[in-house]
Amino acid sequence: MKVRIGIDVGSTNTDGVALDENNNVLTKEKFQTTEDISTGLFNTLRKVIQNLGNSKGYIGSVMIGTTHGLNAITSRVGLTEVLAIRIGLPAGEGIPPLSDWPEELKEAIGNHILMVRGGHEYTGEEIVKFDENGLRNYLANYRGKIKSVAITSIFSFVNPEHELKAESIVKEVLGEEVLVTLSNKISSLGLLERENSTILNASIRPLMMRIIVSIEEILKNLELGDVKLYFAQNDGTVASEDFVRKFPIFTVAGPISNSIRGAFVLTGIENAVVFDVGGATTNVGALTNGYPRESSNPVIIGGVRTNFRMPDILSIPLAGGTIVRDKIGPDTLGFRLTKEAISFGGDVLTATDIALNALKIDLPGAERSRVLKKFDNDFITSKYVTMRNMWENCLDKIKTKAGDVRLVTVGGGAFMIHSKLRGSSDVIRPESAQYANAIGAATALIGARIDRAYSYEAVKREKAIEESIEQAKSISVEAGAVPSTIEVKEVEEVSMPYLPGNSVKISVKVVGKMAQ
Amino acid sequence: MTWRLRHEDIDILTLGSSLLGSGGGGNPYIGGLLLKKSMEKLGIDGIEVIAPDSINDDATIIASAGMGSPTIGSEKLPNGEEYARSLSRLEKDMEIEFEYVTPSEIGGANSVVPFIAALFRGLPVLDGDGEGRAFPELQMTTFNLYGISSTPMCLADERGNELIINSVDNLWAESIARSVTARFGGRGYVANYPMSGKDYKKSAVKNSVSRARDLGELLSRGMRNNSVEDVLTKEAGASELFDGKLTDLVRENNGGFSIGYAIFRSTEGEKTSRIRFQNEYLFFDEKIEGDMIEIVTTPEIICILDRETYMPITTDRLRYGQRCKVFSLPVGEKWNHPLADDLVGRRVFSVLKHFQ
Repeated sequence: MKVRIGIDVGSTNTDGVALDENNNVLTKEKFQTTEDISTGLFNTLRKVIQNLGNSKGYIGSVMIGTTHGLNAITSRVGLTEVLAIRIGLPAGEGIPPLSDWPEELKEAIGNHILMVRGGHEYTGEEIVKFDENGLRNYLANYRGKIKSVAITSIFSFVNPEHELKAESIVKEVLGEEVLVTLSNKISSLGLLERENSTILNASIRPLMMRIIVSIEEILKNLELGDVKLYFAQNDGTVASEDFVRKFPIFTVAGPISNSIRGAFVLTGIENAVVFDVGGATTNVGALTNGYPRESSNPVIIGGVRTNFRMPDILSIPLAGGTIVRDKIGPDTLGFRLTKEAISFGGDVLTATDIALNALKIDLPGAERSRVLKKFDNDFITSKYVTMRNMWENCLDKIKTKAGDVRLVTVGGGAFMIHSKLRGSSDVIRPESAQYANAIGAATALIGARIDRAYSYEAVKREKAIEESIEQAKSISVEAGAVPSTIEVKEVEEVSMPYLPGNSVKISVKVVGKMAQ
Repeated sequence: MTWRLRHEDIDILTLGSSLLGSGGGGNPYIGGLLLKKSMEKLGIDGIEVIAPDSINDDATIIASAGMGSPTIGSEKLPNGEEYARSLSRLEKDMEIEFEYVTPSEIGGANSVVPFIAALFRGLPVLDGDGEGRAFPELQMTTFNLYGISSTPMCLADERGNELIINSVDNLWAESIARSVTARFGGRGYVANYPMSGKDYKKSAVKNSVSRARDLGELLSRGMRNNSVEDVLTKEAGASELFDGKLTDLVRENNGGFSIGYAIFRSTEGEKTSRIRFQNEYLFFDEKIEGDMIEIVTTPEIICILDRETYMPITTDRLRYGQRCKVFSLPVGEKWNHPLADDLVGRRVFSVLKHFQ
């Protein structure tokens, strides 16, 4: 038997499951998500392992979806100072790195910037010669002061040469132990957004490395030192801990994608809309060929414009713990739901109380008739109609085609969704819906994706695609995939508006199995 | 009336010019950010905006703009001084000093670019432009319509290369500048249409900078009060054309332009509409097949707004599934001219040859 553990940090609860090789749930656990995130995460992990008893020796891998990175960026706590190097002068001088960042975030990462001459055109030729000596001289001022560096060069996703040279100069001057993030590994077109994403990555690397070390220690103390550790990525796949040490930014939305991916694993439906109804919000996403659909808009994180791949998610403040007054929400009881909601013996009217009565559902531990002592049926019905409308509008927004879609509901509040929601052909609530997120984490494959720009006048189309696939495969191997199991999931060619020379952006996504 | 564009007004101006830009004119985010950073760097908050009717007939005026691919513009950012350098180089060559800078188009980034040139040179900006909107080519201006030559012009790049163009006509100026811009790596910085105050008053679309600012304020007020449709139709003279979802998008790149069409369907799926674009939105019709019967055609302005945020969507940001509201805006009477159709009418745009 091979056992996989999946842990997922949600805004209200941290969930954990252990699955066998046929995805049967062996044990499941739920703890309140703690303010430091780690305590809830570590407790859940320990408890799941403890529940397995003597079977713990069969554990092969642990997959974790966590919000540590996102939380650090939005709360500005736990970040590391970053030196942001931009290669591109004389272009771009007018808008230096960190230009449009919130002041307190800029301060939290030290506000160190450095710009030097260099960079490439969209054709891959140099704009001007890279000023290596200039960089070497400037860097001397930062010796001993900087642990993490972000390097961004103009059009590096067409030609990464200057970023690679700069990396070796940084290591030479500041020392081998300095962490370096190159922008061409993070995303593609849009200098400011790519640079921002690269700097954010650099700022959360030490934090994620500490988390990884802590989890490895927990595993070692439980005599599970050989177990492989993976983290959920934004696109519904996972990557090994070595990869996440380098690119933690790809995991900041891991928990959101886990539940969408989990909805697929639990139902086998490849294309559907997914409602993840939690304690505070309903996150609405879409499954496309078994993976979360990705957003094509710039995503703002902690006040910073970024452009790495994120799931296309709509989030509304309507879920299990939502407090119902004249208005519905947006405040929530969160984890206090099971103490303070009327059905659970408290005196706060919540969306859960309304849904239980409107749909006549009995939940263990809840006594829905308590609500009827205070509110009449008409009131309950009218509130439920409003809630239903909010969900229906959300469903309509996430759809990309006219016509009804299949809807999968997961999360602790999945029962609240009406089975005939307008815009849906059918509503599926799988068994273990509550643990879809942790199951999504536990069952994920290793994934990698790259975006590369080519001019088909300079490089033949077939060669460009082949090259892109090879690169994606090599990243997936770096992320922990077994080469013989790697499959190409998606090849997308997007013509780049306005670019001459028949220029396209090729996006390749590959997935593979992890070593057992 | 003279007023000052201050740091705090820049977002409003770029918001309004995103409406006037008919989906084009370059990335307003980068243009606006560059102007703000330039003001901060020079320690100057405020650039004078002068009413065209108040200037002398013998005043000297120059238009300032960026040209080329906005996509490249989002990667290879300006250093900020190119616009002023281009202008200064032309002054040197023409042995003349310019007193005022004007936008050549009032759309997207190009509505703020003249302010960057003016800032570095300590000049005021005229409250007008040569289009009242944005168009894809340099000769598509009311300046041209009223017989003003686009050359001598200067085209510069960020490295320091500068080229003075003297062409036989304005179409040649566009054609030469377009191919050199490609050689520069896709972005060029233009100073052109040198002219007198008299010519400017005759040929410019007046008050367009104020109009962009006012539209920006209206839209922003509409967003706050959830009354965008109302303020646009009642206060800005806009007409609501369509409400629906983008259900088909065809786009290809052709000679440095992004050409294609978008099809929209109303939420109930009964009504349809089609918008054709060539860098900017150009034509709106309700038939989605066969010969089109345009309801809105150039030079009238077409705006596509995101249904939720009411932010204007530029042509490069169109995507399948977007829920949109489409509006038209009047462009002003300057284009009421017998030759306007030859300059910006339907047959000059290759989008019509490509997608019938």
